[in-house]
Amino acid sequence: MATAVLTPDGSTASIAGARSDRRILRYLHQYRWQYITGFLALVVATVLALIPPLVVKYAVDDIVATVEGTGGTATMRTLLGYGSIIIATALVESVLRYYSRRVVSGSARQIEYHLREDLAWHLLSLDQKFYVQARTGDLMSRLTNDLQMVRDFIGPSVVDIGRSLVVLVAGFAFMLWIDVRLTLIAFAYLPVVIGLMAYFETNVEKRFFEVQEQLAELTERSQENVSGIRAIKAYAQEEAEIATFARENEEMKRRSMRLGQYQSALLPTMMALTAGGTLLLLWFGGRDVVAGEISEGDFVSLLLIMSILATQLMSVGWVVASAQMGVVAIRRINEVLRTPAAIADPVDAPPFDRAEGHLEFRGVSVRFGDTPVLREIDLTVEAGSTVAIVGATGQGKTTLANLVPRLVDPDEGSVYLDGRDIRSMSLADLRRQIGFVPQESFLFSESLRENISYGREGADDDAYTHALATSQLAKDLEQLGDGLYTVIGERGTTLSGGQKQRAALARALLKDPPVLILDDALSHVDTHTEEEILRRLSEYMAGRTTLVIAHRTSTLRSADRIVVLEGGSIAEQGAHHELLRRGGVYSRIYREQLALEQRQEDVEARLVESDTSNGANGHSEGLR
Amino acid sequence: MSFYEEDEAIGKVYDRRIAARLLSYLTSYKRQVIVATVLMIVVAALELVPILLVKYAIDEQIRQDRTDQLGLISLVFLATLIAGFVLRFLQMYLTWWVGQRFMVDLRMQLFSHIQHLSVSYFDRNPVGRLVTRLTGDIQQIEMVISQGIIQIMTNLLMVVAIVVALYVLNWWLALIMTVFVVPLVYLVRLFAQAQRQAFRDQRMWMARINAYLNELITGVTIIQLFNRQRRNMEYFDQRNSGALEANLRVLFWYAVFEPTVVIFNAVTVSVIIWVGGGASLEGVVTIGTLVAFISFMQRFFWPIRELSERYTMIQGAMASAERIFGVLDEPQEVLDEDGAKPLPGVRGDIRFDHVWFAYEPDNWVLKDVDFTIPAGQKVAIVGATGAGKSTTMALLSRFYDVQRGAITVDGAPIRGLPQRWLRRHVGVMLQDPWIVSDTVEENIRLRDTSITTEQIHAAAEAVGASKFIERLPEGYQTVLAERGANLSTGQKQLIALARVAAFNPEIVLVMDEATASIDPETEEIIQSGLDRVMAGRTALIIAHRLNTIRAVDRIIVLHLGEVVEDGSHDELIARGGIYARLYELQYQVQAGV
Repeated sequence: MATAVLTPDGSTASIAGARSDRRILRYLHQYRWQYITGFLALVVATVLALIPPLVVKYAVDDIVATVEGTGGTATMRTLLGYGSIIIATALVESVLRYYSRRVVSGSARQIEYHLREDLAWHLLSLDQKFYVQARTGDLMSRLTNDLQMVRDFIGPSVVDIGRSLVVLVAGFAFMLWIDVRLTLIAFAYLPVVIGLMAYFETNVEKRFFEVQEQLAELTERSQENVSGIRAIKAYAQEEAEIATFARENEEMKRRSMRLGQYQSALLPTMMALTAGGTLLLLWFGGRDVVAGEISEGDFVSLLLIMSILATQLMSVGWVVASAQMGVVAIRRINEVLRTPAAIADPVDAPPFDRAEGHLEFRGVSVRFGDTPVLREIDLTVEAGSTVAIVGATGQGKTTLANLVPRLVDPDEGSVYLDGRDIRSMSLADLRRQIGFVPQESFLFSESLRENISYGREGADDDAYTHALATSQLAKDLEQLGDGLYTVIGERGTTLSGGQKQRAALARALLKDPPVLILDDALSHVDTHTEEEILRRLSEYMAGRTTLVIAHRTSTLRSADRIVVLEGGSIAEQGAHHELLRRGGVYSRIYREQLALEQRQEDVEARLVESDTSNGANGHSEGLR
Repeated sequence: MSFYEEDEAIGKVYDRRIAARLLSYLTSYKRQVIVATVLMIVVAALELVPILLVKYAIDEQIRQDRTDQLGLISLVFLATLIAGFVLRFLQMYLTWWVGQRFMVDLRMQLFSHIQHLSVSYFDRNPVGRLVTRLTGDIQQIEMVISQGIIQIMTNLLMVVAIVVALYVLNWWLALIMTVFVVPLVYLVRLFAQAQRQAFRDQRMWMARINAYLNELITGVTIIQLFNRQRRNMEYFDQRNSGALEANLRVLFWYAVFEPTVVIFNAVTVSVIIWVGGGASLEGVVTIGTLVAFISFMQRFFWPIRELSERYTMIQGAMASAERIFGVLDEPQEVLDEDGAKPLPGVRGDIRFDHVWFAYEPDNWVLKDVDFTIPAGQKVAIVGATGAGKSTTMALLSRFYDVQRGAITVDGAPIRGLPQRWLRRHVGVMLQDPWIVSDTVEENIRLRDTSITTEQIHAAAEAVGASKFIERLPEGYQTVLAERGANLSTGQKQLIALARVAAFNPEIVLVMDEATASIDPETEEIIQSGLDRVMAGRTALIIAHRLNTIRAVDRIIVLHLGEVVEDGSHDELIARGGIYARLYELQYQVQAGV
């Protein structure tokens, strides 16, 4: 059963939140055999790689002995033999390397896939408080760029570090076997190498993080600028925008240059350090050969092994660089994964069938930060009744509505549906009971039908027809290229604000829920269409509990009860006529609204008239 | 899926025009580039020195049983190392430096250009695309400049230097090596090609993942409310799996690549031992030469591999450059005329002189619109959707140029006025106020530093916005969320009003449609704010509110792009035309209720 915070592996998000820092380790554990065999194959391959220098040693000694006539047996045939050994070794090595790369990096890519899936699931379980402060571009970057860095880190990097260590040890042993003194000398300054690398590690990591942060900043600036370009032009603020952007851009350069200092020094340092080993060998080893302590072959193979070790040390340098980025990226990913889903399924929620629709708020308070939004709300909504919530902007109406489907949880008090604390139900069960039309209607870049199907998958055509008729979207369909199958959004047709709201309404209606919540759901719909929708809705609302945030007097009059919010508290509640008689806040709001509407109807009438006369549709549309 | 492919179009690796244009940005840093190039040549040459030194040491010292020059050789070796380190660092730092300058220059140029593009360009191009140009595309080119080009040149030089060194050391052995090496190099190239295709697919899938993520995140509440997590994750999984498949294909070619290196090295070493060793038996080749050959061949492969790897990078950068230049080449459709001069002052007379306008050829949105508004008059524009109300407003801000006729302010055609000057004097209250994630103060003055804090406060006070602003946690210094997510619609409108008041224009254009959803109390505040803003100014209003209409001096009725009626409320009633009919209808409607 799909629930709001279910992750693919079946754990709930709150538990996942606590475990998430180990998630990457868990996946590594899952793929441990691939890692182990891959690692072993790589170690064997690298040890095999040390054989050719040894063969070269024998070949050179053989050649020297033959030339000097001191018992050498080198002929073209034996030399071909040496060559064949080298090639044979290389073939085995190649197969092992191929295998290792495939299983290790392959696992890393599988893990990347799983992590992306986990992250996306986790994002879907996070609540509004998270999204108010999160930035879309930043989140996207974490699921793509950062994840790729993690993949590179846990893929080749982890194994490469291990491999390099093994090679260093093996090479060390090999060299020891050839000559103890030279080996000790060559390795004497290994600590220097490690020390310098540690220095670079911390610095590159820090600077890289700064650069990434600034890049995110620039992305946000660009996004903000381009989406506001009409306002910028209207106020002739291009130059001010350019100046602001230039400052951020300069900051980007400054941070990049700081990274550049360390980045530019990394490779030369590694190269110089490794070549230093060869120099030591040349200085001391050359004398040893002349002194007859080691053979020419020994000397040559030492040189070759040193160059292999040098390559290893350098690749360690690169791995370290990628590891730094990987560590930063892991941190950024864990930041998301460790954000607990504040609103999550309770453990062992008993199943919940269709609700009657009795809603009750008991002592509910909500704060955003330190600002109280709702205070001590006590409110009962009888099953099947309609309650209108009224109040000025910023009095907490939307928050009150958001409490019911648990988009927001109360800081104090509880909300009950059919007498059950909604926090004791699974989110999926709870939300199945509620048809919600939010203030800002969001539609996906899918077909209109698919968007409406969010309400109920597999609804029959009659259900669609009914939802479309009630929401008055039916008459718009012919305008759209492919009717109900028109793809909308950035990749398709753009709908007007009114059309979007009506689509969002249709989506909620198709759901056929016992509880309906309309949060200022028709604000972009013109009055005429709104009246028509309300007329049809009243039929739909029969037998359903409806919470409606609205201003229109007709809606207010038809509500069973009115709740007036002021400063986050209920200022008045009761039936329309009751409140009117009382002559309090509500009667003032109502009269103001009535006056407003009478004036508005005047205009609307004109619009409708000129509309019908030119045959176009009369919805309020945006500015081009 | 065509949407993605458009952005994924792959550029040619080398397009002379694009390359030349990119290089032209480097001319300001000619000196640095020249120094970096010289350094690069020196570094490549220095790479050869240690190997040659070792060869010399073996042949002339060790094999001769001498040690008298070993000290000197080691010293030269050390000097080479130090020089190599210093020069390499300088070269890398210098190219990095140039890359960063380049990035700053190009990004600024692009950003400035975007600021000056006409509104019609933004009608056609989604926000995300331009953001990618400014960030990802620039970054891609910067990477090639600061890490790519020099590396490629260094690698090429290395290959050349090694080949030359090999032929000089022993041309005959070198020739035999060539026979073995050329087919291997060819093979490497073939692999590289297959790898590139896989890379391309990988990038395409990543773009798809990004696009879908954007939707998941922006629509997360809806997904939660409708319990659609599973279904949406299926869509996401399709893209994620596609990326995995492409990823594994890229990996396959990587995995094949490494063994190629190993075999390449093994073959060369074997041939050197066999052929070279055989020759040294005859004394034709020295041991030192053999060692040098092996060392050189070990260094030969990496530059070649690097070259093929950078190929993808360059290809990506060229595609990015092409897209960036595409934006830069986009002409401004609305241009300041030569010698456009601001007026000494603005009274606020507006005239539409037989204006014809179409967004697309022949599809006239305004037809012969002709009216004059004297300074200080308040005019409501009334008409159905598509009648041309918004267009009329946009033309007055000169977001578009009219095709026929002219619009004048104080008798001067606006085409002859500097655009930005004009817009400072024609204030617009947009129906969707633009809120940036900055302080309230900056949101009111839009980061225009010529507007003082006092002016901001006075403006907010005047339109009645100060009350709610002062209640915010940090008052005017409160940082607002992206798109004003922490404000209500009414509060956003109030900020937009304060903005108009702060800019203090002589002419005000009000798009009054979106305010329909506001509660009466806020409505009242906005209404009186609007009155304050319009007072003493020429005002053009697309009105939804009747008390606004009643407050105006005059009503212009637009119908299908034409002015059908024009006059005061009383005049239009007296004329008995459309407006009057509508007015009567109004009474009938009320009587019917």
